[in-house]
Amino acid sequence: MSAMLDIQNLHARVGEADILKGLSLSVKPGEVHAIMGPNGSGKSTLSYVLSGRDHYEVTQGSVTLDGSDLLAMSPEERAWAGVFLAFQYPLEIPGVTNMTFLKTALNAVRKGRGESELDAASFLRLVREKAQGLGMRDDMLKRELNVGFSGGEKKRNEVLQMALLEPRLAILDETDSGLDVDALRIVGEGVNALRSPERSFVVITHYQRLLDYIKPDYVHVLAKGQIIETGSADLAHQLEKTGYADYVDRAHA
Amino acid sequence: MLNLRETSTARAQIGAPNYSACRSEALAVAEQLGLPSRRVEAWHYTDLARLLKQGPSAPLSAPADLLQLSPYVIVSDDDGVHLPERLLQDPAISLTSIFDRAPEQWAPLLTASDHRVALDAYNLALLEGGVYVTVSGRPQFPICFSYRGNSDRVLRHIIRLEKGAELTLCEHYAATQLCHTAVSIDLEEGASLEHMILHENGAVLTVNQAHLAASARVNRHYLAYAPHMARHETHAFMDAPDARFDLTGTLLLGQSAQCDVTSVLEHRSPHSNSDTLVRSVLTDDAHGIFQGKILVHRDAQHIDAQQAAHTLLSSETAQMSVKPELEIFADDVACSHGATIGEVDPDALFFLRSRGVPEPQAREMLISGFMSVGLSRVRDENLRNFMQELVTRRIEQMVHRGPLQSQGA
Repeated sequence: MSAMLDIQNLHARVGEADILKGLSLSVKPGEVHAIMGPNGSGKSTLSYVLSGRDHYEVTQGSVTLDGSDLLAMSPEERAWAGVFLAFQYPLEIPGVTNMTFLKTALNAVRKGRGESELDAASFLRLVREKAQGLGMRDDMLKRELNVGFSGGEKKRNEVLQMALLEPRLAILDETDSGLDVDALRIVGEGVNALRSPERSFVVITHYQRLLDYIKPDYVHVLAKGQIIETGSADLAHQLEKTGYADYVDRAHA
Repeated sequence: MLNLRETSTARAQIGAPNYSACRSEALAVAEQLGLPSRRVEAWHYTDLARLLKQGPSAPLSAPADLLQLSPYVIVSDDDGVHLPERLLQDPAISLTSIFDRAPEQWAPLLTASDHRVALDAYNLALLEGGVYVTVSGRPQFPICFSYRGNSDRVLRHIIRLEKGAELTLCEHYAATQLCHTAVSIDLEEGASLEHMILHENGAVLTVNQAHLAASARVNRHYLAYAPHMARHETHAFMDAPDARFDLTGTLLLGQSAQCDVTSVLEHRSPHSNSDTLVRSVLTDDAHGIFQGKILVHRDAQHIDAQQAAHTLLSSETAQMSVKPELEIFADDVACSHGATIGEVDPDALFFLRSRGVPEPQAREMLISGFMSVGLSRVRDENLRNFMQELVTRRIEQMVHRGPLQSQGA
């Protein structure tokens, strides 16, 4: 089976700082890849490069999604192509209700994928059903987007967006940060419910605990802009015990 | 530009005979005092002489239609003031031409500092007409003024709200030449006014004065997007407890627009309140101005007066000037002022785009969200929806056309 996401020798910089220095990663449909690594190793940079944020400049290498050049696309085109980034710190947008945002996003993505837009009634049915599955109350849909939401509510809202937009590739950027154990479980279950043979996940995290809920097929260690170790889910447990120092030192010995 | 003496003389017959003596006197005062220059602090940002020289501008191809809001639209155009029959039949409204009233009842009205007297004398010297309205109870529809046409316009209205009366008042500035109005509003106990001032076209000078009795309330909204010069003055006097004056500015300016919102809110009684919020989106060479003065008299304890101005700039050359002035002579009050100026948040923009929303639409959403705070303060639901539609249309135009095209036909 060929790769859905194929990253080859990726180099990227932010301003004058080179962050990614020859990263390669191949993700097949249905797989879950965890990327772990110490602070400053380039984890968040990878998520922003894949989703097309400004000021993240690719200097070398290639990224394809289902064979298409991802790096040539604008952030919205990437969303249409199936990329979804769950933010570490979801933005608060005053004056825009969650419902309006979700509807605008869903219809924009459907339009981008050549599908028809949903009418108000169908949308409402769909969003209510998905929100209920995540234990979200109706008032969270009526409130302004993420304004006054707790950390857990924001992350649940991210999973709701993921459920609605049905991405090919979901990137979870430290989704566990700021979550208590209960919220972590709800988010983990929400993500698990979305696992399918057609959908892949790249789960970026500091800690092993998120991977108790979202079981990865592969675990990669990212350090100094490169993947220096790849293993099974056991590698995450190993890292939890020993820390990253051994691996980082070995890689640069 | 209007030549003061020439025009005043030419209008000598208007409102005659009971007004001519008043007009001559006003002309003498206006000539003696002269118009305020930029050396006067209250006119620091707006060059009045330049404002009066503006025009003509192109007529609007699709002006806002106030008939959507109300059948009570008083049209002031080149042929005069036209009163709708239905309005005259509303039992809650009593309306006459100001010239049907003795001038002592409506002129002169302003007795404050020199430059304000000069401005008032200017209005009276050039006066063409206006209405004297008394409202009791609650009219069936909002009263609207629509200023149109291709000649300059100098008007004066008196609005009196009797005890407990409730009125929605809308003014629509859409003429191609200077339109100057002086509006004086009196609110008796418990009266409530919602007041929209919409500026779509032409140079505009509005001078509004309001006196509020106990528990009276004014909720005023400026909505401005004309690419021209405007000066809007509010002078409010909260004369009794629980009087409340709320002021909202929604400025969506492009091209070389210059819009000056100047307010002087005088708390003359304890337990009176005011809240001012100006939200602006400025592009091209537009200049937004907010001068907000809060004056708290010595005995006016326990008042609450808030004031804030927030601006999004979307070009290198757009500018916003904010000047708060607090003069507080009481010692137990809550007063605040604040201002922010920035651009559309790039992180929020990326967040929306990463959810598939195309960049212009994402920008529109963020600007609409930013502006929604001001609109949410409109209490009359029909009016709020009406304004929302205008704001949405205007934001769309600002985002999609880049540098704004003239709306001229």
